[in-house]
Amino acid sequence: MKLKVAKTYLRVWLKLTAQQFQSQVANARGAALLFIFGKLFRLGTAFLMLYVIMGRAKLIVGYTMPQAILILALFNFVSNIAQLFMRGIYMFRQKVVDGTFDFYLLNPLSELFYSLFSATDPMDTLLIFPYLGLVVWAWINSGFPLIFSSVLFVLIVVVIAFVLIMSWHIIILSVGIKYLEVDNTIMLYRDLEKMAAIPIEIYGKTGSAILTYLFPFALLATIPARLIFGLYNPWFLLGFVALAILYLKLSLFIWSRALLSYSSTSS
Amino acid sequence: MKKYLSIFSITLQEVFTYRLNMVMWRVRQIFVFLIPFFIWRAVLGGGGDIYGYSFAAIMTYLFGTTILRSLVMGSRTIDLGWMINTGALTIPLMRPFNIFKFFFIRDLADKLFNLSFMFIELPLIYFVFHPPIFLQTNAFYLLCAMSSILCAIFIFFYINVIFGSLAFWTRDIWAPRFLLMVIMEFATGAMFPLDMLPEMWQKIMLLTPFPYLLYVPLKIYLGQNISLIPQFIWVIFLGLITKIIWQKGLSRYEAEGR
Amino acid sequence: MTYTILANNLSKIYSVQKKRPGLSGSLQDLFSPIHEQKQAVKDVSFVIDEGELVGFIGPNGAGKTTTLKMLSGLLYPSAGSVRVLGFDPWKRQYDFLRQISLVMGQKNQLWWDLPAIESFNLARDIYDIPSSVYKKMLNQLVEMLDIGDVLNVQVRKLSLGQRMKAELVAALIHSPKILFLDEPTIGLDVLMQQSMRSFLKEYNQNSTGSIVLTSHYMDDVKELCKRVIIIDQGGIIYDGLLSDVIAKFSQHKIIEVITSSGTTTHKVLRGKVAQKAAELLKDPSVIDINIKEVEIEDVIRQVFSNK
Repeated sequence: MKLKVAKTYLRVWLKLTAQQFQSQVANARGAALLFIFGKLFRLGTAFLMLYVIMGRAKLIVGYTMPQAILILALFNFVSNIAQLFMRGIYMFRQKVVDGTFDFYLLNPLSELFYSLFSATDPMDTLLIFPYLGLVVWAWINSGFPLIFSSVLFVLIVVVIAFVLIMSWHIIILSVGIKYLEVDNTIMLYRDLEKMAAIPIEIYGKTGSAILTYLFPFALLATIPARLIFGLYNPWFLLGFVALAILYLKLSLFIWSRALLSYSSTSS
Repeated sequence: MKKYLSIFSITLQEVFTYRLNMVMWRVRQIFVFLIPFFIWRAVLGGGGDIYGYSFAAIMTYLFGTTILRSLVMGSRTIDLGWMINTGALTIPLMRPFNIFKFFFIRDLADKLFNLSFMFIELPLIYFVFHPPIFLQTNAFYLLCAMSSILCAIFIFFYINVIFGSLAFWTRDIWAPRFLLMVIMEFATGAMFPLDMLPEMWQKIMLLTPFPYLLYVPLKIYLGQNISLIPQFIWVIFLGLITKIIWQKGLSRYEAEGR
Repeated sequence: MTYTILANNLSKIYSVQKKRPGLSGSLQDLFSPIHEQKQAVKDVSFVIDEGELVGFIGPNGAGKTTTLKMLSGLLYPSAGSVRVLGFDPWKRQYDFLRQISLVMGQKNQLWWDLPAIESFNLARDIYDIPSSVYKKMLNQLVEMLDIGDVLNVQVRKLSLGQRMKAELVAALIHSPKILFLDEPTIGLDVLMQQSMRSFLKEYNQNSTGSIVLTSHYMDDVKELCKRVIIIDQGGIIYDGLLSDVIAKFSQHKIIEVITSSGTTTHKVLRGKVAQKAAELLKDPSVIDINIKEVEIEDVIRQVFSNK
């Protein structure tokens, strides 16, 4: 039964994404290209800043430049995959205001599914490849071996990170439902998330602790990097699995409470 | 004059209505400052310098850009594209006031709002993190800096109107806006001082209007002898382009959607 | 026997912020906002059986849409309980949702840039409709609504009427047991309103599903509903047959007098009709008289203005 439901979600998601593509073909193609260029430009300037700084500093909180590059590449990859799949959140406010969200609620499939995953841009998915390529290059460049166990651990971390990011997005949706304020909230989240693009040790003892145990953004880059460098005990990941499940349950609870005060747009 | 005061007041009211939005926006501004702060502290905190910038110098720069952002880049004219697309532009167009003055006043309201919050947040940050900063005392430089900032305000205003006017020709304005934002983030000197880049890069950047928004005014404040002339030229040039594009665009305006 | 819809003392209270005028007012609102309680629905109870076509009517803001939204599971009741098809609609369980459908006048759930058929195919996946059932239902609905030639046209290019019809197909393709319609004829021209009403009537006659609609148009009600629930200011003021509404609320009948120079109408108390009619007939210029019930619009108007 659970498998059947999962298959339905997958089929519907594929169809929605395909239709999103068809819809784009019917409209402007130029926009998608501009976006891709913009995202690559942004990535480029981030790397530029890294080069500028590390061009003079040999080490940054104990990491060499190749290591810092890997951390940036990992962050970029994980953060962008999450954004790519959960693009729906950027349209959420509009959907509530124009009444589409009501249709989401009454659709047999979860309204969270639609609110988060229904707007995947297929053009964005193309970017996964260069981003992944960047990670692989940075990994090799850092001098640490690309062995099976490391890859496995990194994959596990990515999955945990994805669950956590989804939980936070659900909490943001809850805020959005209650106060109709999504855009600044999601941007605030992105600002927080951005902190993980550089080794979290930079933020000092308290900062690192917050970014590891309270808002585990460290999972996006620093922790998988340390796993690769052999500086991290993989058993700790079990703790993060538990934390991710806890966050997920918490976010779903907050969501159900937020819906209680949902007032729907008037006719 | 009174009508402009009303516009100013109403814009502020609009901002206050969305409380959560307001709070979030301010919190985000704090983050914009924090991340570079931590990076620079890690790199320079122990002493030394990078491309001539000591920790104190870079902190001053960071504080400077944070304040200047609110002053120069606080704006509501970003709404222009949306207003054109939905036909919402019709209403202010039909009113008995100059449409550019209308937009500009709204921007001023936004800047005031942002600045007033800055006066609370900055002392707070200062007390928590004790970053070393430099205060300019030379009157001449202060005067030049203020003129520079004024030019920067106009340049940004014109850029926004030009980009907003794209909506007269196309429905899709978010993509070019996004690209503009990404480029400006870097080219205005908000991420790091542009003179950390190789000479060649700096020369190229100075051919665009962007460094004149944050980097140049700040440098003048810090006491560097930079000519105000390129900025004046940009103000005049962009002003002319804005006028032309606006006229052309307005003639295409169909007030659809209403 | 399980009722299709069972509502008990349903209530919904909204908390609305009161805004103070002016700049200082908005600053005050910022730091110490005032909230007002607004009761949209108060103690509403009713029962709806399988196959019924019920109309909730009332003036704007009466609470009809709010009630409908509580029945479909969109809004959480502040008080009272409701059971639809045996489910608690608020829980929005899969098995509940696949048996209902909601159509909101002027609001679209179809893909704007794609042909309508794409949205129908998507619905097939979502509701897990077997292929043969889907094909049969699709053909039936398309024929009934006569939109076979626009199936492959982008929804944005369709006229309002065609779009509404496509909406209906999307809403009914999974054969829901209950169809909720919120102001379905709003914004449509007279012809379209007519074809929508005849479709709904036909559909209700040919299927076992129930239809619950809200409207503030009298013509919707007159054409479609045998049973009406009149809601005003959040409460039910009448629940029963439409024909009885007139009898219950109107003490008068209308006598229409046709003469060679024109028609005049007289409003007469029921008991006095025969007497008045006889009186009027004494006039030799009278060609014909008609004795009619008061128009339903007038009855409803009177009811609302009295309450």
